[in-house]
Amino acid sequence: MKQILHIFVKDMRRFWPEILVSLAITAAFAWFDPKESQGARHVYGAISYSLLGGSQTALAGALTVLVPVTWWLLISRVILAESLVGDRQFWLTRPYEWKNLLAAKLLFVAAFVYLPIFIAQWLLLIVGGFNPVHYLPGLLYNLLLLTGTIILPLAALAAVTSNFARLTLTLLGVFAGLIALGALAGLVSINSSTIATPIDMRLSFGFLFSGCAAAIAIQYARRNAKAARLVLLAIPAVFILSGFIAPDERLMDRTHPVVISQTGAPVQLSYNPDPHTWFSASPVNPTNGIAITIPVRASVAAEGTLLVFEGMKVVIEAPDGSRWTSPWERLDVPKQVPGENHDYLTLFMMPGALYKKWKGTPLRMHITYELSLAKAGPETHIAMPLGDFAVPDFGVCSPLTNWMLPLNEATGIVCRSALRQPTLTYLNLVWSDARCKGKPAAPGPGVQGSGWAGTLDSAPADFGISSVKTVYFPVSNNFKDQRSQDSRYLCPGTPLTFTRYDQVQRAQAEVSIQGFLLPDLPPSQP
Amino acid sequence: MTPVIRTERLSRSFGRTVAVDHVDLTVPEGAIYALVGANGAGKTTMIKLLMNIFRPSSGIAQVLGIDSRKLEGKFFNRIGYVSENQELPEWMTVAAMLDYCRAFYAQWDRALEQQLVRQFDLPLQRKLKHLSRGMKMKAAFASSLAYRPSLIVLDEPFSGLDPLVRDELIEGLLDRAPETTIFLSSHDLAEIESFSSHVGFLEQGRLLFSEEMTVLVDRFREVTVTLGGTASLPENLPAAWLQPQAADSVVRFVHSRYVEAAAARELAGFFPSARDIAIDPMPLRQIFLAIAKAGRMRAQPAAEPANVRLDSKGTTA
Repeated sequence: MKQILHIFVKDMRRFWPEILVSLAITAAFAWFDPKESQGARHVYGAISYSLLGGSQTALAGALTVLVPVTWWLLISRVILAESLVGDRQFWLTRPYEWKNLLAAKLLFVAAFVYLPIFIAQWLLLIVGGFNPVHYLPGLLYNLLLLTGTIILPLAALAAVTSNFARLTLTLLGVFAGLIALGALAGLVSINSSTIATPIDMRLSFGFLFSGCAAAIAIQYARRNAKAARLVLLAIPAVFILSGFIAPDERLMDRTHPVVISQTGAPVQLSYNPDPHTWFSASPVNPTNGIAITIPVRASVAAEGTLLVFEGMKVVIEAPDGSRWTSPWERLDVPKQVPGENHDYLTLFMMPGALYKKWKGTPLRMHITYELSLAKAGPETHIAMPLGDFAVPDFGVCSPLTNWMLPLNEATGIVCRSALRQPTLTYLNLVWSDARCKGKPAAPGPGVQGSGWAGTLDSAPADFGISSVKTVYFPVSNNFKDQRSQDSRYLCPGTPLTFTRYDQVQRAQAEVSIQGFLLPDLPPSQP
Repeated sequence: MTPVIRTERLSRSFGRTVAVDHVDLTVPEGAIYALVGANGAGKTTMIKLLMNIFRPSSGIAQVLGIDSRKLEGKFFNRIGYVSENQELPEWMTVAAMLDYCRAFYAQWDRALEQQLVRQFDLPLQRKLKHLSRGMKMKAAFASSLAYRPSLIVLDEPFSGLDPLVRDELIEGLLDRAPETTIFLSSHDLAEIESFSSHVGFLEQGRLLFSEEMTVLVDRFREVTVTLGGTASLPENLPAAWLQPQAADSVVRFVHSRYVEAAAARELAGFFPSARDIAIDPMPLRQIFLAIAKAGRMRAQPAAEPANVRLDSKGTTA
């Protein structure tokens, strides 16, 4: 312990300027981050918002980026102070115990990275109107996510590089690699940033976490840079290979164990060849792929059941026996009003050459959707106040005002939630076509509006520097006229109904189409 | 007595380059062992293998009875290491560095530290980065001697230093010699000749010989034979006669296993008409040159690497 403290104090004395800068930036972040959510509510007057609020919001955004940058500075500097790569370091022939050296570095990171951000997040929860004690598991979980995603990878890279310049170059190389990987993913998927991997995110996180931790342990215990670098290189290699060789069907069966049959299921999916629905093909450059839109109809049998599309996989078979299988594509289909039948447009990308070959040929198409089914939970009825109001299991909400409007005329609802996107919630309200002019909402019929916010994910925290998330409710029918963007209003006292939805099942649903003809490309395309 | 350093067929390669090649070495306790060789001979690699900075490609090394691959942490309480190219914590002052090092060693001797500071005239409040190269070496010496290590390992410690600093460092080192074993590398033969008790010669990664300095100096002689007429080299000269040359009426060579009585008989046998025979002791520098040149001459005709090894009697193998 004596040696740990001795090295820790030495590092503290050496890096006090970096520590001060990091603490100052973290403190500034804790000060300005709440201004961002205040800015989101547009509670400022016109002048103050444009001159003060706008700049504060921008500053808060910049500080969210600067905080991890200072971590990079601190972590790299403190690890490279006793560099693990090279043969000329002073400490190599001194009686350093590697466990003590590692512990001293951990203590430094704990004191000047973890503790400040923990305190900042604690304070942000208080300022945001949340009791941090209730969110302690989430705060710790968030630190775990930050560790696996930022801190450990930075520490691992610092452990396998000999100096700051090499570390910076390596880091740039990693970013370039990630961009290249995203571009490659775009060749096989519609949305390169959300290519569906069959490996569960938790498994990926665990692999990244343990790979980086192993590289650090190898370096401290053995100073075997070659082995540690191989371990780090194995991480992206495994991620890439997993896309090709992972048993995605079996993994999907584990994560989505229920297969919805066509009879007796709460939801049934079917291909909807209605010519009025949007059924199209369009080229996706520069991949030479063709994006195909498939309209499906969801028939909801059970009252209050919500269908959430998560991903899809397509298998196409030609009459000559040739076959093509798509990767799992993540789907981002807007959620609809629960308990009703809906038409959905689902999208996948197929190779252009195959499209040309099979165009005009009746095909057999088999689509597997991965879905979540959710059920309505408790409802919360609130008469909209002028200021903040708490929504149980969701967060703290406020009327969203336009800076040109008086404070009592809202154009929407914006909320804050602690540490994570709140539980998936459906909001129902009634818009007023007329200005409020200080009057409470008039009783009687109005235009119904509704919207979804939140997620079915039940993790205690999302990855992020800030502990307070801003959540907008995109409420339907908010404009009297979409073209002129003429708003409707929410006056004080407007009844708001929040309905929480809880996940009841993760399931697979299959749709088979016989004699499917690929849609035509738009006329302007060759 | 257990040797302080012992290696067996110790080798280290970097890619295709063999830096240390099957070195067998023994350093007895209390010795001041000088490992000499030209730049690039493998001295630094050898020392880094002993200090577990590099790991051997093959063979073993033991330092203070411990496998060098396990040398870490507490074992360095007994070893002082100074290298010409070692990175020092340059942001620290001399005093801060000594303070910092002190906490690592239970046996740190404050009185000795102060004595070394005085002896080396170290400016305690100046940062290491502002010190001259000589001063930095002195600070490194002080931080490596003040805990009275059982073994001091020095890699080219005097390289590039002015004579005054060099003498101060050697003096400081010799003050510690009675209580420790010193292993140092150098390519400057003159500087180690005066105080080394043992010497080893490394060339292209191979240890050409390793023995006590007195034995080495005693068995090497420069022999000059003056003949009555024109001199020519006799046939079948002994292998221990290195660099034989004949010019005018004089034959010269280096005798590498000189023993007075036996040499007199040998010389009388080869040169019965000699008018004069002069036998002179050789400085270390000339001994090494003779060995190195002999090794290269043997290597060239067969296009094989030099492999001259002398046993304790000075015979080549």
